Amino acid sequence: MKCTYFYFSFYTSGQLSVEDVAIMVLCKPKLLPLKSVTLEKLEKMQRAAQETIRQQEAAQREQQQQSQQ
Amino acid sequence: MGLEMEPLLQAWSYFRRRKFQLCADLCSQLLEKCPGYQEPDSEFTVSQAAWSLKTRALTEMVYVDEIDIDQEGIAEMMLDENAIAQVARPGTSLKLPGTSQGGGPSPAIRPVTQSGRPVTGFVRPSTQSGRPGTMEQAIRTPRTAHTARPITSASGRYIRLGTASMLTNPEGPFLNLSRLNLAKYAQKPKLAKALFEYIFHHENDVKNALDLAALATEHAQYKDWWWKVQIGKCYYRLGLYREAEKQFKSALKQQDMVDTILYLAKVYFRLDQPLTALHVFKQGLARFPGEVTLLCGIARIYEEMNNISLAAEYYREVLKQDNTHVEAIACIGSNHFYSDQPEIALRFYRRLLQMGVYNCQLFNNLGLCCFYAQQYDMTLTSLERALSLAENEEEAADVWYNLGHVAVGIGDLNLAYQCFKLTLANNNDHAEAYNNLAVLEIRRGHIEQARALLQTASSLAPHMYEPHFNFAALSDQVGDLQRSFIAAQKSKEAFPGHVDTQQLIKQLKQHFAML
Repeated sequence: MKCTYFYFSFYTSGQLSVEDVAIMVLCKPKLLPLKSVTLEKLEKMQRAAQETIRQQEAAQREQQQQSQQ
Repeated sequence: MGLEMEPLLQAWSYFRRRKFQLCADLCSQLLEKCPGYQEPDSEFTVSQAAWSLKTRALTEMVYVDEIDIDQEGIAEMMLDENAIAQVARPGTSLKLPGTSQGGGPSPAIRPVTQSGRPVTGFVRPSTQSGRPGTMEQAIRTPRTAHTARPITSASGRYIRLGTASMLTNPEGPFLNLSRLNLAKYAQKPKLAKALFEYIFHHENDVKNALDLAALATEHAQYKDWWWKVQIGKCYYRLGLYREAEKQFKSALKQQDMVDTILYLAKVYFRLDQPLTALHVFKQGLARFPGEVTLLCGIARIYEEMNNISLAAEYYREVLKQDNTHVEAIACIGSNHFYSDQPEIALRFYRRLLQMGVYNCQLFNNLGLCCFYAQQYDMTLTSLERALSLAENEEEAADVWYNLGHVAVGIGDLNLAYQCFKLTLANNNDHAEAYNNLAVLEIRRGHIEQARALLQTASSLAPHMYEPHFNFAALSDQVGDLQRSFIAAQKSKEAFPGHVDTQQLIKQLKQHFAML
């Protein structure tokens, strides 16, 4: 796709000059793919697992702090 | 206390109502009491029944369809010893998507994934990103399921989920596999099947599962097709694809099952033999006419091979058999959108909404379709709802990105600028947003910022032609012809048919010839 600008310079000698400027390209809009049931279940399980791990780590840290005190 | 159900019956009822945690808890109580009481007319004790039910409940909690799940790790992709030819003939391999030109859309209209395929309308665990070409790309692959690609599939989700499920249980794992006498269980086919599924799905211990399956199939005198399929599944997970193929074929000879056909095709798919997989599917269709999963499998393979028109044809066939098939509706919808028919795409996505799909992705797509179908009243509300439904920052980033496009479309460049900025705030690796932001910066006359943004975009996503081309055009304008030429070459590599790139290169060559 090109955008063409016309410059008429009437005052000089009636010449027509044409400047060809390349337009920058935008990336296209992105339809998001829907997720399969399996993928959703996997992600859900993964999130739940990460959550339990985080909770356990927090509990451990608390215990350590208490024992240090 | 009023009337109470017999505990085992209640556990079974919980199982049937898919309340697996309650079922497992009740079974644990039963097992703790462990009366060893035997029903007079049954070969099983109550505790055996409870044990079996508990294994089944625990399995169901983490069960994912083995046909669907297939995640290639970096090691499998880069160190693939199963490839028959390093340079496959056109149209026979999944690794060279560009080779088959079956009416695939050009990247000027439809965005592509890293492997050069057009983006799909539906993601499954296996189609997350295709095969990257180099190690560097493999490590850096952007993914829909925002976890890093595992080193091998053996260290992937299976293991992570397995250890996680053990963490949730304070007394440690339910069964201690190393202490189980597998030979004893293999003698009891009814218990063995539940135990196998538990070991395979819950513990993810493929080696022990394989041992059990081998003993059981021996006990069944190699006459039980189910065990053969299970052995095949174990081999597949271990990466022994040819052995898996043998098992599935032998099982098919005994008992014609759709599942087995799907597993067999999956093996061929992994071996990068899409044509053989297609053949298997089509043979299966001759025996099970109109089977949706087989039709869908064919469509997926055509889609992976970049033959969009044939894929769409098979997805239509799927919809004729099952008109609530989400994958088919989504894929056909996205095809229509990218072939400049947003009104029709809108109808497909609306159908999904009517069917009860309610998530960020769907509302985002509805918003985009509405905008391009000139139904402006629904656009912003849909996108707003998509934002509110976004589950994580990556999803929100994608919605902001599309909102940026809407803003560009209505000419509000300040809003567009802010939208793309917000995209980057949510997801710092969003290459498309970097590129679009750069274009807006150029319009504002900020050449240096634009240049930096374009460089970021092209290093994040070398497969996209837009940042390369924009960088080339920008460098050309400021007179940096050498850089312009290099970037233009990269743009041509990503999208050979792009006319502007070709013209730019021609122009540059003329310049260089004059020097």
